[in-house]
Amino acid sequence: MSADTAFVEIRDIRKQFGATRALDGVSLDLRRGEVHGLLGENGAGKSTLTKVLAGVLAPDTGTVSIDGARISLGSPTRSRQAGLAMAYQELSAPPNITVAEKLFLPKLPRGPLGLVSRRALASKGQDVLEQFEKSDIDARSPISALNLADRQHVEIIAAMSTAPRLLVLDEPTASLPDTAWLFGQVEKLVESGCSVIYISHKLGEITRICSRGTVLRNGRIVREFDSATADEDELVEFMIGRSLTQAFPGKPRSSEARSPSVTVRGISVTGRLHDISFELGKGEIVGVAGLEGQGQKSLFYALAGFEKYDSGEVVVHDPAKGRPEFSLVPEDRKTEGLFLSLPTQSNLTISELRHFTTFGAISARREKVIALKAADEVNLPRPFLGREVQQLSGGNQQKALFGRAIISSPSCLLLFDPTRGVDAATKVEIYHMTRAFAAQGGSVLIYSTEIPELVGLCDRAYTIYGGRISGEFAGDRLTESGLMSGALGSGKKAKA
Amino acid sequence: MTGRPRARAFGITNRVNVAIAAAVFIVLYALLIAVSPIAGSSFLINNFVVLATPLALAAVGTSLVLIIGGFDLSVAGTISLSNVIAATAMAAHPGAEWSIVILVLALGAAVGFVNGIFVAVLGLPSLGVTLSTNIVLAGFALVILPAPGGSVPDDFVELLTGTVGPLPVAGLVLVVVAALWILFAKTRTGMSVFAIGGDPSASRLSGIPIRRVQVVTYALAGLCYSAAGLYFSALTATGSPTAGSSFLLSAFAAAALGLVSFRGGSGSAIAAIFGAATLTVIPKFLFAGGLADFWVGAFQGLVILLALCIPWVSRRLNALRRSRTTDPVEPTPIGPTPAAVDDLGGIGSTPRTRTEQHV
Amino acid sequence: MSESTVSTPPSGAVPLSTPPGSSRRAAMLHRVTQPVIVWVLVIAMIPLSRLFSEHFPSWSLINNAIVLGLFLAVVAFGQGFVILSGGIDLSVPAIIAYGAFFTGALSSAGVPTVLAIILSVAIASAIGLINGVIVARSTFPPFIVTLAVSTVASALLLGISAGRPGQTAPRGLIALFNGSISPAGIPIAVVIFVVVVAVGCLVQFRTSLGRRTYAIGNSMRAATLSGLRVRTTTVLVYWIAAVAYGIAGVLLMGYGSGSDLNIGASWLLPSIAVVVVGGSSIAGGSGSYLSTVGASLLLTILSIDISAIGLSEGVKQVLYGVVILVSLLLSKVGGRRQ
Repeated sequence: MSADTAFVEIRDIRKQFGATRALDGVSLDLRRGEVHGLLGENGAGKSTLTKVLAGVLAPDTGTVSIDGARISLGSPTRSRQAGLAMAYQELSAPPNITVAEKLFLPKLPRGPLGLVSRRALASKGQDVLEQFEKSDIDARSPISALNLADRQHVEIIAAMSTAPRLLVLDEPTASLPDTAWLFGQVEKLVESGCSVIYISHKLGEITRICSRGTVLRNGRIVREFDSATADEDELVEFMIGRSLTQAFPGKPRSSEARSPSVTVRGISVTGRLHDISFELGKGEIVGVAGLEGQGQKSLFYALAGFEKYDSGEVVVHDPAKGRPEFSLVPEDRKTEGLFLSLPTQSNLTISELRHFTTFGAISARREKVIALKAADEVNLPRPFLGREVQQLSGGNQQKALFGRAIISSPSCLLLFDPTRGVDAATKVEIYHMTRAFAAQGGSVLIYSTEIPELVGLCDRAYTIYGGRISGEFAGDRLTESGLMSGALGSGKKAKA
Repeated sequence: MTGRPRARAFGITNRVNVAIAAAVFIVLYALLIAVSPIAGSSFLINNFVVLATPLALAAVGTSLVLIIGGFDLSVAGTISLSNVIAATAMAAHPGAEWSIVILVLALGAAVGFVNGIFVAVLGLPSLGVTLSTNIVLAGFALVILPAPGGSVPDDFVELLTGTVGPLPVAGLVLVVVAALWILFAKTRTGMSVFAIGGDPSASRLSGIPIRRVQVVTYALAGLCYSAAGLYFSALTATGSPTAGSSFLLSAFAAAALGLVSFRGGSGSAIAAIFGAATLTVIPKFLFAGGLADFWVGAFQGLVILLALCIPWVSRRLNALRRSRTTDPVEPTPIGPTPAAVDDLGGIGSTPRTRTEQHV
Repeated sequence: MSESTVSTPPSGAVPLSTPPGSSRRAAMLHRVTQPVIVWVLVIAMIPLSRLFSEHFPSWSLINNAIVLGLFLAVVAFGQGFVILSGGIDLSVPAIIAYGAFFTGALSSAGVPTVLAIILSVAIASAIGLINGVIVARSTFPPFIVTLAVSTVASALLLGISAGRPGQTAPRGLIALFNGSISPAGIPIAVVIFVVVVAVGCLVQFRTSLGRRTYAIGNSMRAATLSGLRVRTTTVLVYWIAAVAYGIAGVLLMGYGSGSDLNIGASWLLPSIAVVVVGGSSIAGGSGSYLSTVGASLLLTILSIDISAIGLSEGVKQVLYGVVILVSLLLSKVGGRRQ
C-alpha cells in the first residue's frame, strides 16, 4: 500500500441471503480523490456492496470509515449524511416525478413556508443540469419522458450534485452512448477530493478511468490491480474464474453451406426499426450487438410475435408441424420470464401445456416426462423441479427459462441477453446448450451486451444502430473491435 | 428534445383531471337545473353540498391511499364508528360536542395510523389489512350502538349544515380541504406520496423515508374518514352502526370518477371531491328527469366506466404522437394492450424494470 | 403496489454448496404453513367448541358448519379464482342476487326447477363474462371494473324485478336443505360440499385453465411472453367465478326458502377474507382452494361458536376481523409472496 492513509476504509463486509453469500468478507481502501474500479461479473456482489454502502442493506458484519470516522451502516439517511452518494444500476427514479425532483430528493428545497415551489425547484434543477453540462435536459420533464441515456445522466448527476465524499457509480455507462461526458465529470469531481468507486464489468473503461482496481468474484476479492500494469486477459480470467478462450464451445467450420432457416425482409416498426433484413441459416448461431435502445428489443419481440411490425415479412423455412417458429428467452427473467412462486417444473412446462393436457385436464404423468426431459437438457438437478423457482440461483433460473424455450423445439431460438446476471459457470453451460441446440438444426439469434461473448459464441454477427443494421461480421471480421465500432454506428458491412 | 415536454407522464396531469372531473359535475348539475329549475335555488344548492360532503371527504381519504399505491377498505368502518360515537357521546354529554369532535377526529387518525403501521412496518398488503380493520371497526360500532339511535345536538347540526351568508358551511369546509390538499401536495411528504405510488423501490433508493410517509398517509386518510363520519352525523342527526357501509364502494367510485389512478402515482383529491359530487347529483338528476330509481345504479356504473376510458384515450393519443418521432427509443411495454401489462390495477403489480416506459 | 420491499439475493450470486438443512426445510415449511395451520385449526376447533357451549361438539354443529360453510366455500371459489389471476371481484353480491332471483322468478313462472336453476346460473354468469371481457381487453383495474359492472347489474335487476323483489324458492330446492334428502343418511348438503371442494380443487390444480391462471397471477407479462392465451383465460376466470356466485345464490335461496335483492350483500367481504385467511396471496399467483375451504369452515365454526356464547353481533365482527389480521401476520411470517 502507498504511504497515503486511506480516506475510505471498507473492512470485512459480509452479507448472506439465506444460503447465498453475496459478500464474503470484502475489504477495500481508497485514497482521497482516487477513482477505484470494482470489476466483476453480474452476480459477483457489486450491487450488494453498493446497497450496503448506501445504507439500504445492513451488512451482517463489517465497517466503513471515511476520513477516520466510522459510518453507521443500514440507514440511507446516515449514509447520505456521511457523504456517500450512489448512482444505481437499476436507475432509482420513480417515473412519475420530474427531473428536478429527482435531483434534489430526498431533501427538496423548501420555501419560507416549508412548501416546495415547483418553479423554484425547476429553476434550481436546471442550474444543476447546466453545471453538469447537460442543459439539453429539461428539469421540468417527468422521468418517464426521458430516454434511457438521459435517465442515466440524471441518475449520475443526482448523485454527483450532492458533493459527496464517496461516490459509487454502479454500471454508469450501461445506457450511455459514450464515456466522454461521464469521464469528464468524474475527473472534475475527484479534483475536489471526492473518492469514487467505479463499478463495471467493462474492462476497457475501468483501465482508462481508474488508477487502481479490485476484482470481485462470488462475493470475494480475488485480485487487486493497478491500471497501468494490468493485463486485461488476466483480469478476465479472474472475473470469470477461467480463461475466456476455454469458455466457448467450438464452432463448426464456416465453409459448410447452410440452408436458410429464417429470412427477414424489410422489417420496419415506426420509430424503432427501419428496413431490417437478414437471414439465419440452419444450425447457425447469429449474434446481434448494439447499445441499449437501438431497436434490438423491438426486433426480437417482433420476431417472437409480441410486437407488431408495420411492414416487411418474416419467412420461416420448413417449419416443423405443431412446433413454434420462434421461442423467446426474454430479457428480464424476474419480470418477463419466470413464474416466481410456481415450482420449477411448472416453469419448465408452461409453454407445452397443450402437450400434456387432454380436453383441458392435466396429465401429471405426461407433464413429469416433459419436465424431466427439459431438466436433463439444461442440466438442472431433478430435485429442483419441485422447488419454487424463486429459490433457485440466478443461473439456474436462467437455465430453467432456457429449458422452457428449448423443449418447445422451435425453428429459431431467440435469446435476449441470456447471460445477464448469471454466474460464470452457468454462462459456460448456456453457451454449450446454445451450440447443442444449433447443432440439431435450429437457428439461434442472440443479443448480448457482452461483445466478447458474441465473438466467442457466434458464427456470424450483426450490429444494430439507430434501428438499422449497421454491419455484418463473419469469419475473420468477427472481432470485438469490429462489433464495437458497428454498435457505435460506424461499421461497414463486411463479410468473410 | 423540442419545446417543453408536457408532464403527461401518467396519462393526464392532475390539473387536467380536476378540470375534467369538475366539468362533468358542472354539466350534470346544469342539466339538473335545466330539468328542475328549483335545484338552482340557494336552499337546494346548500342541501346538495351538505349531502355530498361526507362522500367527498371520504373520497379524499380514499384517494390519498390510492395515490400512494394502496387500497383502504376501512373507510366504511371508520365512518360507522365515528357516527356511532358522535351520536351516543353527544347525546350523553350535551355541551361537549366540540371536544367529542376532536376525539373522533383523533380516533380516525389513530385508526389510520394503525393501518399504516401494519402496511408500512409489518409489510402486510393494504387490502387485507384494511379489510380486517374495517370489519373490526364495524364490530365496535355495533357494540357501542347495536341499533340506530342516539342523537346529535341541534346547534351542531345547524352549524355544519347551515350557511354563512350565501355560502354553505359544508362548501367552505370542502374549499378548506381542497386548499389543504394543494398545500400538502407541495410539502416534501406530499410529493413523496406520489413518488412512492409511482415506484416504491426507486423511491426508497432515492432516500425517501417510505415507512414514515406511508404511516402519515394512512393516518391522514383515517382523519378524512372520521371527518366524513362526523359530517354524516350532522346530516342524519342520528347514529347508525351501519352508517358507513354504503361508503365503501361509493368512495372508490368517487375516486374513479375523479380520475385517480388505481395503480398509484397520480390523482388529485380535488378531482375526487368533484367525483363525489357527480355521484351524488346523478340520482337527483335522474329522479328529476322522471326516470325510475333503478336507473341510478346503471347510470353511475356507466359513468364510472366512461371515466376509466379517459386516461386510456389520452394514453393512446400519446402513443400515437410518440410513434411519429423517429428517435430510437426503448419500446413501450408489449402484450395484449399497451402500457403496464404486468399489473392489473394495483393489485399485485410486478416491479417495473428500467427498460419499461409508462405511457 | 409492492409496499414491502423484501430483500432478495442478487441474481447470480452463487449459493453455497448444497443447502440440505436450513434452506430446503425453510422452503418446505413456508409452502405448507398456511394450509396446514388452517386445517389443523379446523380440526382443533371441534373439541375446542366445548369452551363455547356445553352442547358442543355435536353433529348438529358439524352439520351446520358444513352447510353454512358450503355457501362461503362456493363463493370463495369464485373470488379465490379471480384473486389467483391477480384481480379482485366486487360483483359478488350482485351476481348472487341474480342467481337467487331468477331461480325464484323462473320457477314461479312454471319453469321446471332444474331448468330454472341452470338458466338463472347462466344469466348470472353473463355478468362475469362482461367483467372478464372488460378486464381482459382493457387496462382498467379489476377492482373498479367489477365495481362498476355490478352497480349497473344491480340496477338492472332492480328494474327487472320491479315490484316483486322477493322470490320464493322452488320446493325441490328447499328440500335440499331441510334434511329431507339424505342419501345413505348423509345430508345432501354435505354431499354437495364434498363435490364442490373436489371440483374446485380439480379446476385449480388439474386443468390447464387453472395452470394458466396461476401463471397470469404470478406474472401477466411472463404469461404473455410464454405464449399463453392471457385474454381468453382472463375472460374464463371471471365467467367461472360468476358461475360460482350464481350457484351460491341458488343455494342460498334454497336455504332461506326465499330471497330478496339483498341476499348477496353480506358475502363480499367474507369471500375476500376467507381467501386471505386461507393463505392465498392477495396479489395473485399463489394459494390453494383446499386451504380456502379450510378457512371457510374455520371462520364458520368460529362464527357459530361465538353466537353460541351469546356474544353480540358486534363482538363477533371484531373477533372475525382480528382472526383475519392474525392470519395475515402468519402468512407474512411464513414468507409467502405478498
